[in-house]
Amino acid sequence: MRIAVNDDLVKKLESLSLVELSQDERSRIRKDLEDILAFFSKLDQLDLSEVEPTFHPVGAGKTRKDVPDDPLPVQEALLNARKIKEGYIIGPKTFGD
Amino acid sequence: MNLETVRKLIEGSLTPEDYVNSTFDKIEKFRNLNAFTYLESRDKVILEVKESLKNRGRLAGLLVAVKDNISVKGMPTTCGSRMLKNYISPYDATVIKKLKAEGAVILGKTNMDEFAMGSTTETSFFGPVRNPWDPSRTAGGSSGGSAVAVATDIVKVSLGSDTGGSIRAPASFTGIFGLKPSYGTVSRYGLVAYANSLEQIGPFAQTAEDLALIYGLISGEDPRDSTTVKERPIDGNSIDMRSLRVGLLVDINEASEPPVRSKINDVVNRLSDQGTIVKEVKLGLSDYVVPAYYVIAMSEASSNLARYDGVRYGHSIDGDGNWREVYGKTRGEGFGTEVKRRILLGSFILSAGYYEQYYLKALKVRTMLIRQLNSFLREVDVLISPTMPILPPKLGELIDDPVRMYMIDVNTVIANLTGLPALSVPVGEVGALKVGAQLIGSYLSDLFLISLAGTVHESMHGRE
Amino acid sequence: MYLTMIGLEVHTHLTSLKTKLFCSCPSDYVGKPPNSNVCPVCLGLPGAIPVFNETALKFALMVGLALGSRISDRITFVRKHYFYPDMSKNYQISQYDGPGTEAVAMGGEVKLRDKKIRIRRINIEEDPAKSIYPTGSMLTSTYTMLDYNRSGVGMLEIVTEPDMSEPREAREFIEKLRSILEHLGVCDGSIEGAIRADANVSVEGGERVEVKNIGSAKDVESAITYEISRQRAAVSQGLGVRRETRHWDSERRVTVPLRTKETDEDYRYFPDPDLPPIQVTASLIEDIKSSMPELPDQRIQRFMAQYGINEYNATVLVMDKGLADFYERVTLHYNNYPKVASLLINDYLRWLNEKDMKISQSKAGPEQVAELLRMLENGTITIKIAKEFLPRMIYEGKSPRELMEATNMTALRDMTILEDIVNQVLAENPEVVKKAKADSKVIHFLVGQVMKKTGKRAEPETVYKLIEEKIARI
Repeated sequence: MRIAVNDDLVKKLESLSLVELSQDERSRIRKDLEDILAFFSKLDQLDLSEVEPTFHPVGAGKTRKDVPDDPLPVQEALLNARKIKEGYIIGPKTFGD
Repeated sequence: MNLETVRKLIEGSLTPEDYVNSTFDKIEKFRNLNAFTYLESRDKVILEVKESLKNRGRLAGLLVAVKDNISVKGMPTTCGSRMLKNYISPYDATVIKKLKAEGAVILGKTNMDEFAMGSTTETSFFGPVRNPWDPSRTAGGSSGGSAVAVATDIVKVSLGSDTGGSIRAPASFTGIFGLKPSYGTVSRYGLVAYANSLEQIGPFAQTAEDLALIYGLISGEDPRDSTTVKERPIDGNSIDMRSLRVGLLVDINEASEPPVRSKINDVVNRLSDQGTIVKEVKLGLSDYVVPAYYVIAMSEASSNLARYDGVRYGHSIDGDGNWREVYGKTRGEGFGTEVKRRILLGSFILSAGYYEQYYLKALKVRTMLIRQLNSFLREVDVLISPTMPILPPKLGELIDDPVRMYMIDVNTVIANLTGLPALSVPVGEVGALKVGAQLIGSYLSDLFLISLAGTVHESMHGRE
Repeated sequence: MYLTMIGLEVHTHLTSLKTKLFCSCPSDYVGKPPNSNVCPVCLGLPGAIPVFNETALKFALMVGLALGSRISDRITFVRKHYFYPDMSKNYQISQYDGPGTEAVAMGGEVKLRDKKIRIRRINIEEDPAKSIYPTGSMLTSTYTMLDYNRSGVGMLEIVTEPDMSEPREAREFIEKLRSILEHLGVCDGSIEGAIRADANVSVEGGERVEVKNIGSAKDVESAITYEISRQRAAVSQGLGVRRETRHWDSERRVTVPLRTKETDEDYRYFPDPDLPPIQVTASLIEDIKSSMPELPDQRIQRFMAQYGINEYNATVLVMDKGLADFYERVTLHYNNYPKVASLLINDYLRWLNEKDMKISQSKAGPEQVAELLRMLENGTITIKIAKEFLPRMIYEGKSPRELMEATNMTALRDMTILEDIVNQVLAENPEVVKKAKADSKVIHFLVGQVMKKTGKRAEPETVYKLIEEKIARI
């Protein structure tokens, strides 16, 4: 099944992934996405109805004991943050369209 | 088993100054290959080597290069990306802690495909890594820099990561040993995630012994990584070539370029001559493994790369908009084209309505492949194929054709999808260009594989 | 009559955990300097991966068993993706129902006084960071201040079926759930922000509206009450109610529309590849079952049987675990158990609530409360005096004996003195006495005067009777 990848779908994916493309990039990537999805559709040729999916190559998960460890020293935690104010990391505003 | 360099440093026949200076001479000589993204200063390195020699760790004084997606405290971890160009890691990956505990000195970080997404190191923000044997060609990827560092003898050993072939491909293209360990035997804590269920950190080395040594030191269950296993790799016994059964993956071999195919046929013939039983096995699923691999890899990647928004670290635009605008622009600027493709596709695959269409199907192909390879490995001890279906391509040859680029992973992805150990052993040249053979073993047979690789290498090159 | 449907999604911190859910950072983040309680994992640094807390598993199983839910045979986690500055990875590790994954527990119920509320599911999830708005309001701040100390702290999400139909039931549900969690020892509901709820409300003729992030049981009742009237008004005006998400403004006591981080979001759930499934063995469940603490419903029954108190009082006590614990400690020292219950419920609690105090902050010990009740019993003090002493015991930690000595407030038993004072009051208020002869209710005014003159030391009933007799003879 060949999925048509139009500009709208690319824009929707940009919004879902929060990766903004320039119009140029969008045109180029649009074609790539279509080719790659066509490539993926090869999987449709297999009869997988009787097969269970393998989510993890390693079967069993692990837990750890509820014993506290030292956190990072504050300077190291903030080392790579671009904007800091009174020890808080500054992020963008969260309202408005 | 000890690395020769370490022995010489400890006994004094090699001084730290000479060791470090000759290393930096080589770095200078091969600067055009663009293997490094970060180098510690010469003086600091000399001091660290001296310091390390005071404690007799098994890697005392040894210089090691580390792929730039593995966290080393105090050093940049750029992942070959503009997004993390200035990111300094405040912690050591578990494997780095283990190496440092044995006295290893981290010389620097090596160049790689951006976020490990690529097979030729051409997606790096810092430019491609060139092949030492023909600089107009790629050294392979995504761990190109780490491979070149060893191939040019700048270091004896280095660390890379392998998600779909990213250690084995550059090992093959540069003519050295590279191992993708059994999944869960090496901690991923500190490895910047690309595709968590597929990738492992692994070593590059010039000899099988060194490969085994480093693997032994970095492997082991880690309480910080839920996907590591308690079980240790089975000891590699000495191999009796006459009772060895080898499975040649014929369809994969046939699909490879003639010069590559003929080299592998040479290897197989040489093994036969020594009394090894060679069976031909057909993968059958080869048309499906690459799509399945990329569906899983891109899904996990789109999720793993969601965290890069410029707030706590990394590239950020100086914007006034709301978080969606700022993040969108930051990520649009910070990521390169291939990374963007994979993120968009990964989001698509996981989005409502498409989950069963692609993701679940790919996970089912994985199940089929696991069954198939495990059944082969009951009939034979090891599977063999060319590591790469092609000789090292010219820079620029594949980069604009994503699907063609993805297809060159067809030989290697089967090990990642199944979690089985796989390595590349150098088996010869075609002109100046190197060819590697891939060995795939049963789960936890890493040490056996490495031992066999050493034997194969000897057969093809004579004792060195 | 409108058919109102109310469902709750309660998010509760597992405050008894010592570390966060997926890393070993300490879980007590309150009051620490910003970003001083983080590590690569909860800060979302490149390369950091999660490992699940085994005690969190135990707590989740305890809650599931206490609510009678069906426990999953393995613990699986998903990634729930959405971008927001308080999300250190831009996905939340949570649980869901989809291929390969399930919530830790499904089904179960919580019994209210006259209704059972069904539980849909219980899942484990991590808390995001704390956002502080420089202007105090999200709507006017041009940037957000982020403190990741809380990022990764362990929570349980308990989702109900929309079985409630009145705001009061929602409040009761939260109170009962809180009591259960406290009796299990997994959550201290008195810690600020430990229990938050989202309410889903719909009235007949309208679609479901979600009201997010309500901080207390009382506020849940208020928010839902407001929302129901808002919705009914809209429906009756023909405006209709469409599906949306709103925010409860606890200052202005209204719900406001919110274009949240999560509206219209496609979460792209998939099993977290860093966290393979963890088996829940039958023996683990048996161990937990056999060491389950006494739960509220059992405790209520026991209180009724052991202390002879009625169901209502037993319920009020048990709904606040701290109070119930205190009650049992007082009963070790004084055995008129119903009187203890009465004092605690009617008076003791009131003084705590006046100053917004928790039981643990009260300075009055169980022995002192017992002493007070003994002094009442043997007539040393009157009930009015006891009510004077109680707040001072609670706020100042003084014993009843100390207070009695300091204030000289003992019950006035000397009838001669009392009669004298009564006669005085009657003589001073001739007009009132006349009125009282006609209307006996006016006697209360005279009683009040006597109480004033005796410094409240007289027994009001005794005074009333005395005045009544005397007036009758006039």
